[in-house]
Amino acid sequence: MPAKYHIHPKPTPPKHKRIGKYAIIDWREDCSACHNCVKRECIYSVYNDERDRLQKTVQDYVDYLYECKGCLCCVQSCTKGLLTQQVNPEYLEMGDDVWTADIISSTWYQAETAKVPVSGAGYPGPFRGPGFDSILTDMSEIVRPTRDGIHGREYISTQVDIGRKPMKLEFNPDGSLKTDFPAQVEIPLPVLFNMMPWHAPSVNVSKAIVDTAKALGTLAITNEPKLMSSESVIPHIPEQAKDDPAITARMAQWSDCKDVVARIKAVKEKNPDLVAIVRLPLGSASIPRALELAKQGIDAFHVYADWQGVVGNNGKPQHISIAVREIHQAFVAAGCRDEITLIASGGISLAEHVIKTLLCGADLICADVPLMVALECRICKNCTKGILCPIGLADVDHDYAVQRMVNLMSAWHSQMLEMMGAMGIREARRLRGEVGRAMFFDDLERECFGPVFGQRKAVEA
Amino acid sequence: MAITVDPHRPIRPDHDLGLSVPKREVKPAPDRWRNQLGKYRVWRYEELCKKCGKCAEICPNGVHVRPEGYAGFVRPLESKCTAETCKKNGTYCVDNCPQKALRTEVLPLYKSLGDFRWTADLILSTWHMAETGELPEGELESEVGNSGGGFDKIRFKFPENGQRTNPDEISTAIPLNRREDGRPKITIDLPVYGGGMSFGSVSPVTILSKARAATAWNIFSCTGEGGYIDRLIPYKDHMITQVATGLFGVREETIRRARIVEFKYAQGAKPGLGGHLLGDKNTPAVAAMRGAVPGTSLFSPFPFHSVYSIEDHKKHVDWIRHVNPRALVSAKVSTPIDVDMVAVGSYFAGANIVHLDGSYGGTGAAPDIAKKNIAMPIEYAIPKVARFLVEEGIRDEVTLIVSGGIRTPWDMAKAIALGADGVVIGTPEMVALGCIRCGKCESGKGCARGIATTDAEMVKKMDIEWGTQRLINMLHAWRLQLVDILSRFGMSDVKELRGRTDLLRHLDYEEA
Amino acid sequence: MNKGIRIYFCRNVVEDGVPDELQRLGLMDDVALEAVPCGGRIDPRYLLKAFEGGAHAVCVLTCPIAHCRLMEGNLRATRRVKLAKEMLAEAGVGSDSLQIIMPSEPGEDALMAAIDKIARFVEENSRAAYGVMAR
Repeated sequence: MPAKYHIHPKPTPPKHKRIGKYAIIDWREDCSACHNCVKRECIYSVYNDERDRLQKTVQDYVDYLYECKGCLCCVQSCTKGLLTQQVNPEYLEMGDDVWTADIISSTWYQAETAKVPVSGAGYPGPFRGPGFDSILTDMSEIVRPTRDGIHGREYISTQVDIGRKPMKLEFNPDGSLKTDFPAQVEIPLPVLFNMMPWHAPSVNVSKAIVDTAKALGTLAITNEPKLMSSESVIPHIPEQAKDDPAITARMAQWSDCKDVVARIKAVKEKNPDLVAIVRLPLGSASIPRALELAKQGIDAFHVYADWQGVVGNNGKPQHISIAVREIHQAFVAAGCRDEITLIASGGISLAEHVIKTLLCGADLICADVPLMVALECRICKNCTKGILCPIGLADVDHDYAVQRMVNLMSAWHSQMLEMMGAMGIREARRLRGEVGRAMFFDDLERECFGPVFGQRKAVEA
Repeated sequence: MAITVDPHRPIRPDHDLGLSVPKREVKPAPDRWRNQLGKYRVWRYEELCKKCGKCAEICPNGVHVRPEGYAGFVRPLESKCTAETCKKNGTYCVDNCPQKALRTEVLPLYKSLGDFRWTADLILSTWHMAETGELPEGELESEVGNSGGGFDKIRFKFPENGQRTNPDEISTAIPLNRREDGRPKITIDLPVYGGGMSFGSVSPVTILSKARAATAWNIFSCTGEGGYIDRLIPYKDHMITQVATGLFGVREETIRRARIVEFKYAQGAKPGLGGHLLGDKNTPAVAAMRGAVPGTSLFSPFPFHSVYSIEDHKKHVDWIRHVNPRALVSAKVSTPIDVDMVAVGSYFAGANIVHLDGSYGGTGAAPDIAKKNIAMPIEYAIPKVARFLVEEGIRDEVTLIVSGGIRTPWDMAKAIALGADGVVIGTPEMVALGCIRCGKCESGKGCARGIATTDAEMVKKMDIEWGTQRLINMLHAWRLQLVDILSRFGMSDVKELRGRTDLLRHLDYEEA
Repeated sequence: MNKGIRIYFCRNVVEDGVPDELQRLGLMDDVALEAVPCGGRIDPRYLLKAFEGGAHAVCVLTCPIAHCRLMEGNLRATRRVKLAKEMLAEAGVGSDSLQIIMPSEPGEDALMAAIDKIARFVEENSRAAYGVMAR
């Protein structure tokens, strides 16, 4: 058995104000200053913290604190009924439809504590949602036992391989291996780090990402020339660029272009251990191209959707989960799925999305935006408009940044173990295309409700 | 008066300790907080008000109160206000005030309350039921939440001008043992019982309130996996002993004591994962009950490491039958893809009750990722399992109990119409006791509202008598609603409703 | 990074998203824009703290009179601003640098007029602080 994979998290408090969900509003003028003030009773000591902050913070502005957890005890107990609660408007405005405020604040929590987010009282969200929220994963009981991975009682491996796999081994008459073993890279987590989708981060941030990859044993795709020397880098080589960085790398990624196969061949002659990735947009249009490239010997494909997980697909938008299933099945039909590696990226914002993308047919994923959110990005996208970043991301402290991203990946790792444990799967490699362990809402509706309610209404476009 | 609970106090009937014997009667049990929450804020401009009293006269809910002998009004009782309805009925105080001194607005707090599954309306209507024992009237949407699927999209097809049955002649009782296996034929008076919440995850006051309400209604409540506290022994005829993967506090006598023993193979809150009691909540009393060290986090393994097949499950059942030949066996399972196979397997291993716990429910703290993603919602599992049981020809020998996202009496009726015999509830009980679903059950001292906590100070926030009465009231309202539904269908027994999917329609499906 | 001008605005005054005009003010280098859930959340302690932290002008935008969701949040805010002004005056800071602005009536036009007022406030104060060379 390989050595157990460990990530070393450390609590790392944020450097900027958290944007909390609830705010308490009080009519302090009417307060009769009674002795049993509810503000003292707050079990989260929100009021005391606020007072302390006001007293102790001297130099800087004090922002309004929204640390309230919304238990309503003070609101309901105040003798004169002076308090009321509202949702913090800033919280509501954060993010967008895909990157919701809840996802952002959950990611912040994970990056700070490296813990699995836990809450009580059942699932509060909608019955089903679009995209990844239309997939459930299976669990096992009695007849198919689960794996008890999270507390380390059983080892669940999250290791995956990138590179071409020979379909059979051949041996020489003397028993030695005849098959020429192709280059492969093993990484202990089915997550690579991607370039950022909507802006190029500063060198500082890119370096932190590369160092995080190093700390975790995975790799980071980058096109930052100053970082190419690190062994944890996958150089990204655009169409017009030179192939030089690939000559020394373990893995390199090319944008698809006419002569990409020839270019990769040329590099591989100098660097036979290289795993070559070609980056293609997801969607039905790229499938023939991917199959063709696979036939010509490309080892791995990085198929991408946009940062919200949407695939343009010639005017018929698809979610990444559907597009990944399509390309996976195309490779299966062509009989070469096991030979190549599929790396998917775009719109993956939570640990559950990693598992679900793998179940849909990817071998591993590329994380991008979550890494920025770990550094307290608020997805305001000021950077794309050329406006000042509210958190000054470009100048982020290196050690802090690395630890926050390590923490996030540690939390993701734990959560992946939980989901895999529940499914009874001990190997991340076995998740690939295992739709038998996924439940799609449309299928459930048809199988369970179809016989009861008949024909489902067509969904309005 | 708050009664501190020592789980190891000598066993005496609770009425000796100054507690009443729980009775099935509705008594008002107002909110234990001073300021009740409602939908509206009502505001009186004191400068303009001439104290004419017109508002008090016209208000149907008694929002405006002028105490005897006083000239002025006290702060309006906002929680009772039904402004939208009043606007339609012409009883709107704002319109009728000669001085235009009144104003109402939807309270921003109301908008911040609740979530997709448990909307603010559902929370407030459950509070209303727990307070009065009556069905919520007025403008609260008390039937469905806002989740956009499942129960929230299913409606009953009530007959127009159908013959109603007399509500007094309707039976809501269901049998729990439908097998001819020589075990007692237990009947419960409502097709609902209380879910397992362990000593440690919730306070002893909560556990006792649940047990006492269950006794009053001749239904059951469940110990959860944290052991059987001695204070529960007077209610042992209405307690289910749970045997969970951690086997905390499972002893021979606790199994012998029980009329039903429940195996918890999985739970809907975190399907595929074991229970987890955080160190903070593991007080000395909890640790003693569980045979553990105080202050350590307690993990239940997952799964039972002795059960890897239906045959192993049968061994488990046989073990219980050997220890207590009079007990019914319930198998609590979650909802994987092959939930139908699991259910049938459990039956053939000898279970009397198959309890399906769907994925969107649960009261305790669980990883968000598990609550959201793992296993299927109970709405899908019920028809799937019920159909398979019918195909296997064993539908009438097994009692199918479902849980996980049953919020209202409507959900209960819909679950029964989809094919279940009865339901188990957890969250509605918590809400009745004052939970607002903030979801912070696990942090620090535990629940801020004094429900799911073991902290000695926080436990005092709730009183057993009050808690019992709230639950009795809520169950009364649930029964009223169920009886009303049955009556509108012209039925006289809840058993007639089971599996009547023809009475349901789904808003997303074409009308047949 | 301390900004010289701080604008607090009640979130309820702008029902569907923050108007561009207001947002643009918030994007100016020297202006910080902070949404509060209700005018009643404005607290003299925070206002004073803003000045202590280096602001030289603070402005508060609330709902029009008689249109606060919480009935009197705007009135409370007015009172609190007044209180803060008194304290500022005692400390020798000109009370003109703290202002509360309320639209005269609900509706877009009145809101725009109020935002214009804020813009003017911002303009005056940024000029007062930095002279002509700042812009």
